Amino acid sequence: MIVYHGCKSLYGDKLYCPIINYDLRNGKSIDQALFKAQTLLDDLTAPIDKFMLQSALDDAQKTSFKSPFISTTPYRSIARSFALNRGTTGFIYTIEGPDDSFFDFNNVRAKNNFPPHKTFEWMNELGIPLELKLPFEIIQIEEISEIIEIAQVVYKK
Amino acid sequence: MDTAVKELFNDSLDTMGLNYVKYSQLPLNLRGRTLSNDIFNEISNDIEQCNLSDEKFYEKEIYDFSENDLETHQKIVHACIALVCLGHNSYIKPLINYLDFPEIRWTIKIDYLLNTLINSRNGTFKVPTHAEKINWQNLFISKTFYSNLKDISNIILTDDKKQRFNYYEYSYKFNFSNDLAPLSSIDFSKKISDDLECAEYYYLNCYSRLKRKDYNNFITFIDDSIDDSKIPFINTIAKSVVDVFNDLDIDFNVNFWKNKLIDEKIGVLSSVFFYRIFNSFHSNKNLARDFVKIFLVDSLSFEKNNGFENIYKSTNKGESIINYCFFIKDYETYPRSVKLKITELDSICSYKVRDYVANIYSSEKESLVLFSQYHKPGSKQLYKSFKKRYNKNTEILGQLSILKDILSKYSEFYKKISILRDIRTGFESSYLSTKNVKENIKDEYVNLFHNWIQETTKEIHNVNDDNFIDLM
Repeated sequence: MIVYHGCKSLYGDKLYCPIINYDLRNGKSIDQALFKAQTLLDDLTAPIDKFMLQSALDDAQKTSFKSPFISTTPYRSIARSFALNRGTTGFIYTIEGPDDSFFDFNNVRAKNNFPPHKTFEWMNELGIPLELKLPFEIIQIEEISEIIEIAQVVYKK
Repeated sequence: MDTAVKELFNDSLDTMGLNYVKYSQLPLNLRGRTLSNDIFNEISNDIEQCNLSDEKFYEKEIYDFSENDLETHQKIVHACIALVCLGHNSYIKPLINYLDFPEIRWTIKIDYLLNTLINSRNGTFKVPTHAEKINWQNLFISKTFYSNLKDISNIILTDDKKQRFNYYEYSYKFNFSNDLAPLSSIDFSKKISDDLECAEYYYLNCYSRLKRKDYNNFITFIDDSIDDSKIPFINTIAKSVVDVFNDLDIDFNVNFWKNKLIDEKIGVLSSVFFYRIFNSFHSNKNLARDFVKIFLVDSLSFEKNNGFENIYKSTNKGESIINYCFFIKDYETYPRSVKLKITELDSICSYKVRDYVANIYSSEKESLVLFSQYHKPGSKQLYKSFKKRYNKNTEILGQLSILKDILSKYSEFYKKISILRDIRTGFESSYLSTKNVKENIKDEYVNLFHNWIQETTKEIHNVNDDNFIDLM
């Protein structure tokens, strides 16, 4: 399955989830950062109850810096809107991975009979847990600076 | 409106750890106000610590904030979303600033909410482009500070209607057995908690009278209780009364109630309050004209009548304020009876003007943060809009300052406005005549206002943003 990830910085082939990135940038070791992110991930992949699961799903989607997932989507245009945020250059990662290895937020909600979260449902968010490693692979990285509109007048009064 | 805004609202409450169920037993208006009060209390310290009006979010990355700061900002942005949903439009200002925050998911929510409130359309959730964000900020700078945004609080809060009666029975029995408590003991000020007290007081008193179908007593109660001190609470009082009508399922027949008001010979100021109540049930463009004819004068020309209508309609738009000035300027030419009516209403008008001036200050200050960020694409466009808006605001202040020679009771107030107009003109030539934004423009702007307050109220030495509005 091909998915896209839009971001502002180029991380090369070392792609981490936002919460790990945040900790690394603030001087924590990779082990410390991974441990904290793993704790958050456990709430989503092995929740004690449904209440905790719903709350963890909301937390991970509402605020990206609290997410233990690299956020991806099957739609390039959505990844592009994240990359171009703030009107400056950004990057689109094209990533390949097996369908069943992604954390499919909409699907997890549906399976647990949670109502769809309207604010984020449209993103079709697919999460890659913690860091980018096999079975996920980066296919391509593009630097993108703006969307150019190409228009041709086909009718004019 | 779709359910997505309700989801945004509930999400925001969850983020702050507030449980809506707790509030659902209250009458509609009290429910909104109690909830607003609790949300405000949740964030009041955080807002003070963060000094939001100085934050240049665009220049920062997520890593520049400590974990505690991020938690605080998360709480504030969600509190602002909830407060805007509850009809507190002044919280649009921080939301506009948060569009620059390096957390895209918050901007998705803000963009959706703004689309619903400003464009009145059910938008689609999306990441707003930078150009769209600049457009929102530009709109904030160049238009009327969102003072007339759509109020969606009723839609947000309406559910489980039946439970409301329990609240009345409980409160009436234990707290309001003597519902004719002397009005003189009620001292409302501008704080939100007092707003709550005001809402409760009017709800319970009106409920007891209307439940007995004692309509004359209800009208007399409102008429007797209205004086200048209640002007800041006009919306609260109107909404509380509307709540009672709805909770008791009283059919509102506009002609029946108009006749009742005529029979009871209510005061002019009270008629403005009753207009607000009537307008909630019977929104009709002729209603204000009817009120002018019944309670003020029926002999004025259409153009002059329009001035009085503006007082009833009470919009905070600059155009409405200017119309009011034009109307007052001809004061000396009016018949004596009209002059007397104007005297009775000048407090409500001056209150509106005071609010308008305070709004100019806070909106311009917020605007300065939005464009005085060096690397931000689109800043020049925002700066240009600011200059245009600034000039327009100065012109309006010029129009208002003419009233210093007309309204004797408020001449000191309008003299201050005249001084403000003059020092703004000086500021414009020093700081807004350049093509590029001057570095210290925001500090100088704040100084301008503080100096104005110092100059016009010599006895006050420590003026800050919290108390300057009260000093006016």
